[in-house]
Amino acid sequence: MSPTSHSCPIVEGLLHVAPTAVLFLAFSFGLNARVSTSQAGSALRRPYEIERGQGSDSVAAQNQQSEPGKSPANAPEPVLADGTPIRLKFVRAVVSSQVIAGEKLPLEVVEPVFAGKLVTIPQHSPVEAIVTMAQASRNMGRGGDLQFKIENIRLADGELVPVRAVKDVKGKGNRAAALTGEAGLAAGFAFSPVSPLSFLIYVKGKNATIPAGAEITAYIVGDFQLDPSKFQDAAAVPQEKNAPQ
Amino acid sequence: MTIFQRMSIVTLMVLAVTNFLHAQEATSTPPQSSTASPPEDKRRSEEETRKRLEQLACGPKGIHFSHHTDKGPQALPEQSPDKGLIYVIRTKSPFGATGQARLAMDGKWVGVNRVGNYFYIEVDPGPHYFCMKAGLDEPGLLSLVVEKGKTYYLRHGFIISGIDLEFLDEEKGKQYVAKYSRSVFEEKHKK
Repeated sequence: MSPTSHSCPIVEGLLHVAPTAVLFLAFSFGLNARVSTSQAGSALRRPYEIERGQGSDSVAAQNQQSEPGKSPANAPEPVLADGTPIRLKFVRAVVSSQVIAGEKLPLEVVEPVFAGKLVTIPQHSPVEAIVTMAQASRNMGRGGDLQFKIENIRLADGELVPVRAVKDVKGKGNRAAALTGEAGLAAGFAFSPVSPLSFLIYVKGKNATIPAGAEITAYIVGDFQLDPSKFQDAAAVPQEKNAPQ
Repeated sequence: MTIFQRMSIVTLMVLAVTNFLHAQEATSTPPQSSTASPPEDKRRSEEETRKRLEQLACGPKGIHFSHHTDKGPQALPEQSPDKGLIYVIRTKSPFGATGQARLAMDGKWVGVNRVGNYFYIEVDPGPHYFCMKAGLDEPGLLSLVVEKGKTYYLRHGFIISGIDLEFLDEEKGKQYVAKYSRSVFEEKHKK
């Protein structure tokens, strides 16, 4: 340090770092544009809520796996069996930054569910999932998180039956940014105006996203004896192309 | 490099970062000339969600806590079968080490941590909204449906760009609780 620098060290310091500060500002504007672009995506509607009605669950003692078009010969009454899979799909896309825990997500049944010859859950029946945890993507390239569960499904006779379906969707992190940011911090470069490492920690990871039409399978919990008079026969229901024959 | 030069560098850095953050906010508003409406809707929706969550989660301004660390033997609470238990853990990080970090749940401040501290709260089952705030930083936000009889570990810390908030798995959470000291705090009342 020269003797003259003692006369006005702050001014000298400012002059010393001015070029790097200008570069810093210029780079920050450039990065800002990139981050904004990466956050742009498809439009989403607000989550709609399906009013849940009252229903009662009854568990039957019989245990059998039902298949479409097949009815057990000796079974007195058809049973919707424990573990019966129900294919569901999301009606619209879901993004972790746009939902809050407790909100409901609309799904629908992809193909009808049969118990013997009876249609227990018609195709396109509405189902709702509940968001159990939601977090938007974060800085330093870390992704968002979205967890949800489906607790029950309404049968064709109006009764609700419990199902199990839990899903945890993680948004992809921006690994390169996260690693570089961490490396920068570890190396003590984070505050250096000349290092691009200090900018990378502002790069966000991706939100956890479920695209519209994404499928998930829920499973019936428990066996449910059915009253045949309350369900339509499979033969009477028009079949769509993607429904099982 | 003298101390004055270092101070100058830090001052310019702060100015530049502030400028950058303002620019980020400015670009988050819909562009005037854009013809693609879906991305605009999405951005608005994200912003709306964040604001809504902030309203649901964060506590009122002007609340302060006195705080100290209990370094004595740790007596952990028993898990109630009818409630959820949430440990709030502040892990070590090179930033914001001296300041308090406050957690609000459902619009009320519920606790304060310093580095290497934790505290716990018992909560009713159902959806809850969490807001972690320290100084002037943007709050860290999270929402969770708490299940009865379940224990959660909510970790928070600082990174250069703000507050870091996330849920840990049980194994990691237990490790931190065993290693860290309990935070003791009390709301300060103005005379």
